[in-house]
Amino acid sequence: MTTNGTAGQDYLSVTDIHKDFGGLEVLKGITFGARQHEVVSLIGASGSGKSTLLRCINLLEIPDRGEIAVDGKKLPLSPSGRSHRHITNQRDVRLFRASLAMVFQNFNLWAHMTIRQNVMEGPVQVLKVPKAEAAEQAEALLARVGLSDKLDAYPAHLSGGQQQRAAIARALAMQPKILLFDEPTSALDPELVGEVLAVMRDLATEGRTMVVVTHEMGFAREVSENVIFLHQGRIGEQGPPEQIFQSPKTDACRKFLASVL
Amino acid sequence: MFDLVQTYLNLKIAASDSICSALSPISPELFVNACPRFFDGFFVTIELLLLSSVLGFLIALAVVLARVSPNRFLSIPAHAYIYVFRGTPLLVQLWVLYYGLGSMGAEGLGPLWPFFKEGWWVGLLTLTLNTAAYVAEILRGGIENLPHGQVEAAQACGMTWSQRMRRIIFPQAIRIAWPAYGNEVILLMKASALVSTITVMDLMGQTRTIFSRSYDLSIFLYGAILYLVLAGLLTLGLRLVEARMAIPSFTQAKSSRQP
Ligand SMILES: Nc1ncnc2c1ncn2[C@@H]1O[C@H](COP(=O)(O)OP(=O)(O)OP(=O)(O)O)[C@@H](O)[C@H]1O
Ligand SMILES: [Mg+2]
Repeated sequence: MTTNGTAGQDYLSVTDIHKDFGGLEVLKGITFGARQHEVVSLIGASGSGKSTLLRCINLLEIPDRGEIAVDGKKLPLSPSGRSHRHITNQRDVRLFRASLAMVFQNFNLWAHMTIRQNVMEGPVQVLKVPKAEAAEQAEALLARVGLSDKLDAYPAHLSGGQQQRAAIARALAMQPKILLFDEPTSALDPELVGEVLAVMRDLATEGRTMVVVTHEMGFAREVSENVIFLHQGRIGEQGPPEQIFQSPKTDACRKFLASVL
Repeated sequence: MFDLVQTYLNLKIAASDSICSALSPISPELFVNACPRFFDGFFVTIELLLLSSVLGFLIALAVVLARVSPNRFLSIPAHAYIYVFRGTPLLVQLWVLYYGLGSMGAEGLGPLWPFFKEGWWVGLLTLTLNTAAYVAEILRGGIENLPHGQVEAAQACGMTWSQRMRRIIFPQAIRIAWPAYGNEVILLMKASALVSTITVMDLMGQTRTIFSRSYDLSIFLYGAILYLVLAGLLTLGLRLVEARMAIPSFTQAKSSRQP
């Protein structure tokens, strides 16, 4: 964990993020960090703002206030007055986004493309990787998530678990610095959850930096270095999984864990 | 280019000749005599229809991009254009552009006069602008029916607005919108008969001329049959394109993938 100069320093740093939806203050100042090779799990009740936080990190929602930096590079938000709504440079934003890959609850594979094309699309269009190279990479990544026999299948013909594994391969194809997961197993039938968690566990072991919103407490406990409990738009509690799961300090966290465990 | 036009004209005459002579043993005398005129009109209708649907489609692409753009200086004019052309009868549009503008004459219209004095050109222009408005709305329906996650996935991997449009949104929207688009082409074919009111000798114009010489009402039946043949050909063409674009269970996927 002590690679060139980032030792002890946050690879992802999120500072004082605020987000307001037409008067509803969803995020009320969130600050946390993740070191390289670290897995951070975000847990919390429905509506506590987990998805919103994740979406703010890669600018699918524009935070009203706050700062985000990846690998020492600050997200190109330029405060105008009291709000961040004006973004300096669309190109910077896109490059920034490309360094963070997102895996969605509903997979969001592109329905008009085969799995292979889904995985090739970002590299070819955004990273300008030559097609042949992107195809090779796509095949390797899909093999890695166990989908070698589905390369030319369309998303509609795959099970939920297979679609999510393909979506993970698509995220990896962007060579992201950080992987963001928003409840990647919540839309799956129970018997399909395991295969997706297995892939994610594998990525964690490999040393990927990941931020995972999850309701799978067993998984959070097993793979994360740090667990963050979100409560009503604030960080209610955070710490290593042993602490959060075995001796939570706040009532809210205790109650939440009692309701999900 | 000129060669191409000449080849087309020759082909047209050859086609009309051979169809008419093939039909003559099995047709009533009335039709046999009028056959070349019918086919003259038939081809005028096809020409207007193909040109206006292709040009109209291209304009519709530009209009729908403006319409869904977050920039109000683009979306408001696009909206107004669609509103005007969908909200007024095609007949009125034809008459305004042909008789209305045409009444300004050579002095009023200057270099545009040669264009506006020809019913055929005004007909083509009006049909094009009219269908573009409808097609833009049809495409917008397709775009807005896309699950938002499709676009977010594209944003999340860093695609530009134009990449998202070109690679993700449009290819799906066109497939969603295709049945409605096919409907619009057939409606346009029928509506095109109105150009006969601005002196264009399309299938309807020719049918009326032939009728005015014989006063035999069955003439209209032959006209109708030719329209039906054209509708059949168009439907076939639209189906072929649909089949070429088809993606296994794409449309079912749309509805079942919504959370
Ligand atoms: N685009 C939006 N517009 C308005 N309100 C929103 C929007 N997105 C989220 N919200 C609101 O913000 C709050 C937090 O939502 P968020 O999706 O972040 O919660 P969550 O912690 O991810 O919940 P869940 O576990 O159910 O996914 C909710 O009350 C939600 O209704
Ligand atoms: Mg959520």
